[in-house]
Amino acid sequence: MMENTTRTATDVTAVWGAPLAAVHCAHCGEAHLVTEGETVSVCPFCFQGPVASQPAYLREEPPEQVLPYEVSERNLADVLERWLRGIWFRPTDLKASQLTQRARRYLIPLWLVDGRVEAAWRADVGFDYQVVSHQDQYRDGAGWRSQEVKETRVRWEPRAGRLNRAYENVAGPALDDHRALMARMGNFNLSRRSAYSPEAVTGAVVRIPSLEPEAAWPGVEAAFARTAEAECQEAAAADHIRDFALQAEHNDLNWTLLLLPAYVTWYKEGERVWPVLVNGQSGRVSGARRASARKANVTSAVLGALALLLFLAGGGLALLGAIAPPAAVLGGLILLIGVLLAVIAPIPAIGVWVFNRRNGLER
Amino acid sequence: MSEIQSEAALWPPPEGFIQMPSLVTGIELYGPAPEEEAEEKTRSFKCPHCGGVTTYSAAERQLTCPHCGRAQRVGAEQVGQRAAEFEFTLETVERAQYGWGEERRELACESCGAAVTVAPDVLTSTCAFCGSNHVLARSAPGNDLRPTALIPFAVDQAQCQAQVAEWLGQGWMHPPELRNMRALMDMTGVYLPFWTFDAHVRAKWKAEVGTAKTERYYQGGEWKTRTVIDWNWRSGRVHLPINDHLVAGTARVSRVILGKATPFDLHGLAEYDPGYLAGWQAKTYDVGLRQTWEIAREEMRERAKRACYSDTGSSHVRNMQMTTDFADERWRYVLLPVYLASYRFDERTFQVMVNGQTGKVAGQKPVAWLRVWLAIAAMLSPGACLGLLGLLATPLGGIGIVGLVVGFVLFVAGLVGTVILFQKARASEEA
Repeated sequence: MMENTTRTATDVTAVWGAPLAAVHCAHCGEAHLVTEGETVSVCPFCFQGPVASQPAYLREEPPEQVLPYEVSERNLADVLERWLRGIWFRPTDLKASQLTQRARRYLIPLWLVDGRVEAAWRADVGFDYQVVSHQDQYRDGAGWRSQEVKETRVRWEPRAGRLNRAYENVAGPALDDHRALMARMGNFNLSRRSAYSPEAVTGAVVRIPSLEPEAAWPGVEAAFARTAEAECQEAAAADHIRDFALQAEHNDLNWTLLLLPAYVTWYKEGERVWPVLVNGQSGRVSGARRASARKANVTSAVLGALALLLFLAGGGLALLGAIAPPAAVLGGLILLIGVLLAVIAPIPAIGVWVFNRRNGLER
Repeated sequence: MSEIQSEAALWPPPEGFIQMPSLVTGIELYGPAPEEEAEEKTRSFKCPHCGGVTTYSAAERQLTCPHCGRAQRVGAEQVGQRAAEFEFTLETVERAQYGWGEERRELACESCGAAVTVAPDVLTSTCAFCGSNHVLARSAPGNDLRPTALIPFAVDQAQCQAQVAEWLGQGWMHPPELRNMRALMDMTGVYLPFWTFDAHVRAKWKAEVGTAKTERYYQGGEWKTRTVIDWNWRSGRVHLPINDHLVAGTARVSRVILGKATPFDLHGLAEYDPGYLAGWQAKTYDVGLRQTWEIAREEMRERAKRACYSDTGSSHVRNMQMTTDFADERWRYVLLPVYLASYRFDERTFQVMVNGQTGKVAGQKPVAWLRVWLAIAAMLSPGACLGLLGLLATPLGGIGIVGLVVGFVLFVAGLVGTVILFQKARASEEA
């Protein structure tokens, strides 16, 4: 069934047509292709682990297609600025300009499989229909007022059949963490792909596939089944389909790689580096939106100190009031302001703590 | 959610599936064969033994041949209230508006080949040439506006005649000659169309509910008590599951008489089978689904209103507001058995109906008004006479007053009796 086999690519540059070399991160365990000769000290994905050169385990064909970037490097700053809005006590390092300056093009591999599916299938297909119902209202003196209500329901009917269809470019995961990555970055519109050229990977970081076709097959088979399910629903002219069962044989399989566009960048808050991923097609940004706990704590401390100062001053004036009564009034006023400040003082620290719990985790 | 199966065989399709048109090349599509819409044709009932015309016998509950006595079971199952019901789909409601069309239909008699003309509102006919019983074979499958179930006749002509004779002989206010009328009456067994409706009625109510309380107050130098009502806004919810609410699908039979001949026990419903109609008349509906559903809904919401008033827990209720939601509304179209007859008495026509399931008789009976007026006079006269005597004896003091009061009470009681008697007599003649 699998026509294509894998081999160790000793010369990535020759196969992909661009000067690339493989590196491996000891922290996150991911392998990437970076520009050959480039000095890379930390992982270009997690920004936390040291990387070491390693041989690349790649197929002998270069990627067949790429999905072009729709968010240009020029637009990236605007996209990131929008993402940063609403962050309290933003860390000094967390600026759109800084993130844009550090951003690198990051290409994510995805398998595209062509193949012929011969199958027997069964399912329940649903057809929408409308029923008429009523709602009547009664008021003393006015009597009854009736209103017709239309409701859409689904009529389910069993269907079975056979399928003999050739499918092209059915997408399947090429990475262990494909699902998690897609959840972070959102979906890509695969219809806009174009042919691969070495320029597409020049200067970019390319994630090396961690799933070979054999390992990726269950995901691809499920994708074939989903495509077949949608077509069986269309064949039956149905509005819905459920309990789809498929007994299939897959032939003439042809596996190719597609590279999905993304940007990867980072910022530092406290002692930690926080990576940020941007979908290069939709502009969706994913990453931890951290507020600076240090800035918030300092603000709270200053407000607290000011409150203490006012409290002491107000207390002193109030005591002085025994001699000069107007001083007691002023003292009371200052005491009140001090109390108010004391109440407000913890808000920045608590607010940032809550904000970081809600938004400050990697996502 | 798709499931990839490796073991279970998905091919061939289940039994009864047929190929259907597919909108995608390369995909074959199979589905359950639709239940065939029965053609507009008749089914004749002939005895397989002697070739005589068979009819459904209410006494024997099967098809019987009056010539050779051979009996044959009708295959339909007794389904009771499980009989198929339908939703109010937009398409059905619109289609129900048009009924079965207005034109008369000409069908070929299977026995002698003669053309049998069938009126649009009937399901059965008898060939004028060979006397064969014909029943339109159209039934429920594929068309929900065909009858789906019926209650077969359980009372035969003889029982029916006996019931009518007994009914005609009852009551002193009718002419005694009525006892002889049964001989002149030809009872016709007819399956009449009815619609049954189910619904879950959920009502939310809000009203001012009064609580009566007794309070003491001081007036004119003494303490007195009086009852006052405390009004408070209250709200609540009522849920009424309504099952098999019956509404007649014909306006050609008196609703008053039909109401008196009910109820029918719908547990006796059997799946529609033309065999039950052999030798009997059967009418199609002339009051459609939408109209009868309006009638049923009116009755249901009045029930809901009564339930809401009852839910307030007080007899003092004002500014009642209600919102009633109908859910899971379903309907079915059934045929129910009745015997119909009419007779002439004193130059007037009177109708009689017998419930073909229970034998309950209802109908119009002429009133011997002389007897009624005499009875009224008998009821009013004691009070009138005693009152008059009391009036005359008033100068004598207490005895006269007592006579006057007792006379008045008797007269009022007589008046009440008169009204009841008069209404009963009028209702007896009413259709």
